[in-house]
Amino acid sequence: MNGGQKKINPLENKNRNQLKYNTMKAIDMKAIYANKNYKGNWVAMQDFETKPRVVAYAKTLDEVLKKAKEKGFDMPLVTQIPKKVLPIVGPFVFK
Amino acid sequence: MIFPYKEVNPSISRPIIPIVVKSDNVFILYDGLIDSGADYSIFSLEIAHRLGIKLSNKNATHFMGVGKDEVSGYWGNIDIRVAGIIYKTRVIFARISDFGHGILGQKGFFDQFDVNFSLHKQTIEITPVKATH
Repeated sequence: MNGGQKKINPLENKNRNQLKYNTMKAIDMKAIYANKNYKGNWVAMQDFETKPRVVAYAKTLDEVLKKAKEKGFDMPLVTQIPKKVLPIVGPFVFK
Repeated sequence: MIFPYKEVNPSISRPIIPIVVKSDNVFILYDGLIDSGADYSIFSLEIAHRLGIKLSNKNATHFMGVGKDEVSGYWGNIDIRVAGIIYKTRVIFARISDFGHGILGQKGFFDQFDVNFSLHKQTIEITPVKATH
C-alpha cells in the first residue's frame, strides 16, 4: 500500500500524448550537411523554418549571396557546411 | 519565442537558430549555434567583410579550439536581430569554417536572452531579458 496515492506511470498513454504535444520536430538538415557538393562551402537556403532547401552554394559568402540573388532570393539563410561533421565539445579556450 | 533544434546528422542535433546580422544598409540571415559554454559570440570573418565592418589590428585577439592551432580574430561591433529584438553588441570575427555556423555565447547572446533548452522536446525557448535599444 502507498497511503492511497496513485503512482504515476510515465508510460501511460495520457502522459505519452502530453509529451508528444510539447515536442517540436527538429529541422532536418542531414541531407544538406551530408551533400558532398556543399562540404566546405557556403550554402544559401530557403524555407529554412520547415524544410530547408539549398538555392545556391559557393566557396565564399559574397559569391553565394550573388548566386542566390540572381535566382531571385534576396535574403536567404546562409551558413557554412563543415567538411566533416564532428561533435563539438567546449569549442574555445581564450589566451 | 520557441525554435526547433536542427538535426545535422543522424546522431547530432544542435540548438542552431536563424539570426539577422546587420550594418547600416546590409542584412544577412545567418545560422548561430547557442553555446552556453562560449564566453563570447564568434562569427565568420566573411560576415564582417560583407557588412563592411572595419577590423583593425589593435582589436586583434587569439583563441584556441580544443586540440587545434591558435586562431586569430578581431573584435568588432555589430547589430543583431533575434526573434524581433534588435541589439548592438561586440563579437569576435574569425575564420571558423570548421564549425560552419556562428557561435552565440555569453556576451552577445546570453546577456540579452534567457534560454531554456530541451533536447528531449527538441526546443529552444528564448526570452528577452531587457528592453530593446
